[in-house]
Amino acid sequence: MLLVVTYSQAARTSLRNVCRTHAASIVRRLGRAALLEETEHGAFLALRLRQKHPDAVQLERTEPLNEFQDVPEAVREAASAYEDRANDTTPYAAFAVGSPHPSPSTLKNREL
Amino acid sequence: MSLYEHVRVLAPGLSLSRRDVLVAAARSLGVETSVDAELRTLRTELDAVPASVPSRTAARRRVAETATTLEVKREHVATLRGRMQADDGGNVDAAYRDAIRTLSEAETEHAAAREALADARDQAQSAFDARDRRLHLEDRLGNARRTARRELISAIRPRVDDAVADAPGSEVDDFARADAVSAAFAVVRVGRIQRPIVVACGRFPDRDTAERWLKTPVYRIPPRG
Repeated sequence: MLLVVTYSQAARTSLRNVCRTHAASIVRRLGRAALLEETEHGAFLALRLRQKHPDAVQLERTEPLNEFQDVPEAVREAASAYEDRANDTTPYAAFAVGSPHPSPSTLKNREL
Repeated sequence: MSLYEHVRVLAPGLSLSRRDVLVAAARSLGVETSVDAELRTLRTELDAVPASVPSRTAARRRVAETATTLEVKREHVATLRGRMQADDGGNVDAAYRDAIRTLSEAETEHAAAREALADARDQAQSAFDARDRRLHLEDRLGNARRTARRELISAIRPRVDDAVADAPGSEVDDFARADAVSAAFAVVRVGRIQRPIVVACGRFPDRDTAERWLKTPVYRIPPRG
């Protein structure tokens, strides 16, 4: 999908108008950002917005995350183990100590 | 817009933006609100001109172009390799070495273009961060302005309603339901105006009466006929 993020009130208004007028090409509107269909029309709308507000529109192309392809097993296991933790108030940093799971700083230093 | 600009000519058919004129009347009296300090701070912060976001267009085009070139060179090398295997080298050998060399150049150029684009994106990201903060400030400013307007209006509304009830020719005691001329009379009486306004509606018998009631200097134009 195409992600459009706006950074000014004028660009946000333009995005709102585009979303209202071309609902069929909008996957989701998220406040001052929107996900557009990955079609030529989606791209056309995104490029028009950037052309109109060159300093206030960021365009990105997104793809779905397949954790079994893209994320190491250790990270997947850490995420599910932490969400199943016994004590809701334990921060992850404390949870990871003495466990087989990577520390937050390790996670932060490894590129996906 | 100042109160004077809203009400400088009072005549039948006057069109009045009711909430705006109440706000202007309150401002003319220097009514303070709970968000005045915040408004000042936000305006000062927003005075700074945001850094422009560096354009990534040229860098993106360069990445696309070098990628295409790279692909062409790769195919060329593959073709020559196939031909060499078919006819056992010989003449093709020199061309192959040449093709390998230009392929390696194309790879270098593409890598450099990608790196340049990544740098440009990083720079743009910091500029976007600044704009992100600015957008939050603008939204806060909008909220603070609305709060200020609400407070100004409720601070002045009772006095204006009283004046509406007293206004010559008015039949109601509510600013919202008053005719435009009576509503304007009321805000002029309550607010503070330094410059003379024009009264052309025949509701006051003479200029002195108009000035006394409106508490402001007046030019009176008698109604025709």
